[in-house]
Amino acid sequence: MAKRQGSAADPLWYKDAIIYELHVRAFKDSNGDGIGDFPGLIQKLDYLQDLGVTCLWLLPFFPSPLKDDGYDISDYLGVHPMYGTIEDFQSFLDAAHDRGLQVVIELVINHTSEEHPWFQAARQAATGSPERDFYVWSDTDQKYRGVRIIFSDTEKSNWTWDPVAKAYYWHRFFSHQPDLNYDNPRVVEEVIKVMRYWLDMGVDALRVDAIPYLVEREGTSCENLPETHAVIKRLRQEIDANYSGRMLLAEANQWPTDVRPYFGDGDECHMAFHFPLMPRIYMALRQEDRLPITDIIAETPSIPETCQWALFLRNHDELTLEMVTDDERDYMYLAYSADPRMRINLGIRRRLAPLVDNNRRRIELLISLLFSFPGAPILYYGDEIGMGDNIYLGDRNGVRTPMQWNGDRNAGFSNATPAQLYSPVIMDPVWGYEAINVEAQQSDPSSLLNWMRNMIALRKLFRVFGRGGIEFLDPANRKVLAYLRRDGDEQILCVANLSRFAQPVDLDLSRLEGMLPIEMLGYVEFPVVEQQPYRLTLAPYGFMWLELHSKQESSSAGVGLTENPPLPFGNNWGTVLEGTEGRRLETSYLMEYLPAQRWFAAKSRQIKAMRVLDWAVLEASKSALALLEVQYNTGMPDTYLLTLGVTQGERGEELRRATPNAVIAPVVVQENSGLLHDAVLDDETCTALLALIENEEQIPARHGAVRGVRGKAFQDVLGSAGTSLHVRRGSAEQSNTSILFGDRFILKLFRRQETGVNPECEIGRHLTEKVGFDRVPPFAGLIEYTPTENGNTSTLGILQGLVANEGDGWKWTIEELDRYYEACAPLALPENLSGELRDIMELAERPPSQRARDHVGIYLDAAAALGRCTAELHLAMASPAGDPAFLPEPLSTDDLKTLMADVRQHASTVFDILKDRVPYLSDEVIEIAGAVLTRRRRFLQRLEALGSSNVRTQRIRIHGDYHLGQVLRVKTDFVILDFEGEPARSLAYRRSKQSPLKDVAGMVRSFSYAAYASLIAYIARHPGDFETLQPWAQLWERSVSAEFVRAYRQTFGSVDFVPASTEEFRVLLDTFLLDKVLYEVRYELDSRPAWLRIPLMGILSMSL
Amino acid sequence: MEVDSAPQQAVQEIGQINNADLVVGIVADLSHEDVAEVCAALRTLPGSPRIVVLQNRLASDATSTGSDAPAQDSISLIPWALQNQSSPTTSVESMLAAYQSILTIGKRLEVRGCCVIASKLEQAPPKWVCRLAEPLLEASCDFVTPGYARRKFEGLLNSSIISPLTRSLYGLRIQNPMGPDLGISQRLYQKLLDGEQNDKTGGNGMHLLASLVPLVLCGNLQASQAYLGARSYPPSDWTTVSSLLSEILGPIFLAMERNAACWQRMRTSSPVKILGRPTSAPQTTGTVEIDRLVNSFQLGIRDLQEIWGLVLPPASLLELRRLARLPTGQFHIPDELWVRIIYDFALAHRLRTINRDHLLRSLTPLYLGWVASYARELEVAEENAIEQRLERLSLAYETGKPYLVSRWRWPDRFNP
Repeated sequence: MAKRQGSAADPLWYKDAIIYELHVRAFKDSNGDGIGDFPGLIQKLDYLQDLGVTCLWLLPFFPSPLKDDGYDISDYLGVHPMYGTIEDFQSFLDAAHDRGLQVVIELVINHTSEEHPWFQAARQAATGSPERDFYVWSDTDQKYRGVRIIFSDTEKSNWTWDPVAKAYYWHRFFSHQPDLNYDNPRVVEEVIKVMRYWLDMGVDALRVDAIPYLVEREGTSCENLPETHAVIKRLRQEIDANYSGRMLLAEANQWPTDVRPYFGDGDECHMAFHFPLMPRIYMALRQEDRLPITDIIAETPSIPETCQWALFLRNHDELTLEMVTDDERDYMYLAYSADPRMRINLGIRRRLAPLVDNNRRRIELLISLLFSFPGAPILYYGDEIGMGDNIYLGDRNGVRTPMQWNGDRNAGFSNATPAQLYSPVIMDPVWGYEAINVEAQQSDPSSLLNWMRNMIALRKLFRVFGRGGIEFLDPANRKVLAYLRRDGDEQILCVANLSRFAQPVDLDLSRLEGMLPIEMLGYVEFPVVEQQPYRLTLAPYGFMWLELHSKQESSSAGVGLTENPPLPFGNNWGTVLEGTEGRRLETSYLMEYLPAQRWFAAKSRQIKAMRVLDWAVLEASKSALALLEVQYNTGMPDTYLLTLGVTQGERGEELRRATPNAVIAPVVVQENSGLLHDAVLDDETCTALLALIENEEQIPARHGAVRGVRGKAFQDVLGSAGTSLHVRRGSAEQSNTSILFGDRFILKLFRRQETGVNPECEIGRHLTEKVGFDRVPPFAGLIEYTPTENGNTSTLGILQGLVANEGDGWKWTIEELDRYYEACAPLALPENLSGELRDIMELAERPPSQRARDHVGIYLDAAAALGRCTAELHLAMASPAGDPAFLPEPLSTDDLKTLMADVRQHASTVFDILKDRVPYLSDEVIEIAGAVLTRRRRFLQRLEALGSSNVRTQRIRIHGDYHLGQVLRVKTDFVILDFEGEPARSLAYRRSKQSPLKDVAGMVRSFSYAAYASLIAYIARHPGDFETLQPWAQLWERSVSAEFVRAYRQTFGSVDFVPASTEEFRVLLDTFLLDKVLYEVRYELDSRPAWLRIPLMGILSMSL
Repeated sequence: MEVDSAPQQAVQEIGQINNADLVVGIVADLSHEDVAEVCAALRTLPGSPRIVVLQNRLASDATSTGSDAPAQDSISLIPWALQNQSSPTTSVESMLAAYQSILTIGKRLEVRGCCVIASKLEQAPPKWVCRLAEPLLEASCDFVTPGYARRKFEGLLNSSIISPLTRSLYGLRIQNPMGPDLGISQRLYQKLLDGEQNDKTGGNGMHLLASLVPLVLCGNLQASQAYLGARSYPPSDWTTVSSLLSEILGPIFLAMERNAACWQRMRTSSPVKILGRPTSAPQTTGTVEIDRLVNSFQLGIRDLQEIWGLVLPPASLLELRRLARLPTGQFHIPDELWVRIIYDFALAHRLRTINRDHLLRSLTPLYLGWVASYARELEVAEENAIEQRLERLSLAYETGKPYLVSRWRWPDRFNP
């Protein structure tokens, strides 16, 4: 059956959408009853089209007792009579579509109204009957204890007794909103019917309300459960199977990392709100400091290509402050709600213009941020004219007053007598409808409305706003926010002054040298970017959007420069990879393509030239593998692996739309246009790569050969004939590209190439084929390239068995910690905790205390399992099985001296950098940094002392980049991944033999990171005192680390590669811990200042 | 544009043809010999492609052409009644209907491309029609536009606005972006249909011809220019200029609105692939009544100030007033001013500053003024001066493009 197409031609329309949120009730009344309705809304569609928004989000308009503003639905398939009929809705929908507007409606499916017939039937029905089972019932209100109450002002429990049913029913929101039971498949089927009903009418998108709460489980927070995700996936499957061009928008007021799972692998929701960003924009504005914004964006994970964030400044609810700390909330209250009546729940019930004291420049600055951040912006009705609010109305009704159309009676909203209106219009001298209305602003060329219309039109001209990535610049002046947005060859620079005074700023744009910035609004050319800092001066609250054009495309008109024409693709790949066209590919298209790839590591280096070194054709799929040398202005060149494919026709168009970043160049094939692109997107190419390994094929390259090597475990991993090997692609990688084949294989392509033995292949093969260590993904094969000239082989990719797992160790640990803090937060801190907070080595001498066991619980067992697993890995790595590369070697005194000298040098450098950066650190980190800097001398002395110790041990092959993200949780054990070593290090270093305690130190630091990262996230979600909870974090970190070390040491009998004595073990472990924590400080200073406090606290907690 | 909108009789006749490689629609009033020559040229195309030639049945002497065809001919000559298509009210609409009809038949026959012969050509090179057809059959090009030998005072609407505006906006240096003799690939036509299907922002009735260049540029397709000799233009009728401006510029300005994101990226122009060589044609002796045109301009200054005041910035209005005071012998509209006027009218069209038809008609005195200025300048110029003069104008359009982009992006009335 053909899929039912939505109103938009582009299936990814929502990525470029500008959404306008409105309530039918508040927009326009057509029949004079004082309540807005669909015929009224239809009358105003021309206004919305003229404004330029592309999508309308309608708040609930369904039959409802209206005890929660329509979010208590009593009939999913109808229209509330106040707003019109279902025919009126259909007319509205058609009229919106005729104007090119998409429509989002609400799918409120966590709960119904208590008046819904399903609930009425359920309470009357017998226990265990199908009708009863539509809701969540219990004989006791003690089930799911500890689950937070969301509306704690009005509800005392999540359970309410129903005298008819003689049982308690579950509700996460108001007691008149019973939660549906998603463990009942019939509920899911009924919800799907509801969904289909509206989608069949032509609705383009559904906002899924209260999405984290669908399913309940004992012993959990009943939020974000895997079973909830399963329900969402089921809804999405239904949409994908029967409709195209539709969208699901998740409402999950959570931290970005917790919202991320609602995108799934592109198989759950298409969009989700970014809640924590909104208050931080206001905070940054008031504090005149960009950090609140840059920090939250830095903590926002990447999402699948087909997904999008929904961004907003204001909406129908209060400006929620759930996603900020206590201090931040207090600050926001003081900054934005002087009158206590402006506050409600955990937020501020004000509109945009009143929040910024009706300052036009502040409004414009905030809109410029909203429009230029990565996501689809949402405008709340009335904010386009700067409407005010009425804080004397109850609940959040002050921001839900009638739209102000003109200066006539009732603001032109309704012909009813004023007393009949569902809400009074705003009438005060500043905000009243006579001063602020659409009609007046339409006739005022300088009005906010006209400004907004221009901004919307401007934003729509640039696809990069909706589709591009973001990269923040780091100028010294923190009052200035500067960021680059990039989508393919479209690149813009946005600069915003958060201060009320003019500000200068020097931007480091050296890697954009030669680009010509053109100010977007006025199309004014600015000076060409050079190596020197790029200096701009911004007016108070000023912002600037600059298009960046290359010199070539910016040459003066009419001089006859031709734009880059498509590459003619002849009868072989040589036509585009060699000769004149090859030069054009190297000097033009690849220069644009490569730096935009996530896996390209040298983003900060200036590329001088590129050269295709060699290439080979994959016959089966008419694609090619190519090795590209990248030369830089300074330093050694790199070599990158490219997978190249050509696609034409519809598929090509789709590819250009969906994954523009993967497009390398336009080509002409036999006079038809097509695209040269990353062939990983092509299933046939992926399958051909797998076949290359399976069949151990060798294919000729121009100057060498590419060879597939099948591992001994290949057949075992593949299993029986007929195994499905459908192709998927990994979504969250940095330096490599992964291709998944069914649930059997994962092929990892190494993008940055190095000649020599690849440690991941070498170790994987050794562990799988020689020593039979089964706690790693089985090695199933590799693809290698050997040039004829010198025979120096490099590994293009490794094939491994896929391991079924419960997530990586980091994610699993963070979830465990979340539960830990949930459980511990209400508890008083145990007295005399110092015993549990001693040095790790001391603690590791004995089993964990009962207190630690009581609180940390099963994670101690996990830590022990991981310690054993790590020890067994090291034993396996130290078993040469005839291979000298795995033969342990003595760690000589000279080796130790060199190691200590390196660490001391590293320490001095990092302390110097930290000292230089102190003025730029946030207030809360400055204090900790100061404390760390005062310990510099003791730190270095400690290193001296360690250096003088006499440790006798051995070096072996190790993991080299060991942390929780490198292990998978598999039932009650772990599987270890990624033996590549630190990507920035040379191949020789990564293959070198080192003390295994380096791995141990890596994991111990990872425990520390998990403990504090989780605590920071917890504090953000459940505002409380960081200092109060910090001892709980220390308890967890110390006891888990100690148990890990204890199990690690206990696993060995007597081995030469780990010091037997506790003291020698401690010396080596401390050295590696110090080195690691210094590395972390430097990394966070450069990349994630918000996380800097974690390694700094690590240093403070060390016994120096 | 549905397939069924093709003329019924032609539909019946082509119903017996399953498919073809090329459709050639002859809209122009060609003689029997001319049509035979076209068919003969088409027979020389490599690979003996199957070609359907639609011959305008109402053209003179168009009844017996097919009888000369060889028995096993690869060409099917089908008489075709343009006037039955609908009830077009203007020559532009009539022309548009013919194009639509030809392309519709081409789609039905799943051809690789369609050629339209809409001009009577003079001094045309041998097999000129092949220059339109061959790139489509070879699939090396999606849009073949004509290059004609220049004559001083012919095709001035194209020379003064359409061609340089197209070059400035879309970066393609083509002499006649709207034909009328054209080659259009099936792929380009499909994009046109897709665009119409997807456009829900008031693009109905958009002129087919105005959409082709934007589609070529934004769809990453290839265009070329084929030199076809000299075109016979109908005599200039200055009394119908207003409606012509409205009919032609309206769709061009609509296409600008629709493709703004695309043309605002284009910062340079480049030549397209050239087929054949430019030729020269004897300059006709016809003259332009400069005094009359200047009078029309001055009349406009008197009567249309109010409308122009809504469209043009004060600096332009002031310059126009000064011009109005000049004696005819000194009358000259600088290119920079002319370009800004066209850009401001395009913007006013987008913003719906006034009724769009009224807006475009109000351009008439300004256009006539430009014609007068141009005619005075080239009255005694040599033939090679025409090309140089128009190139200068094109460069002025390109140089002035930032003015257009800035006004488009931030259409503040408060400007110089």
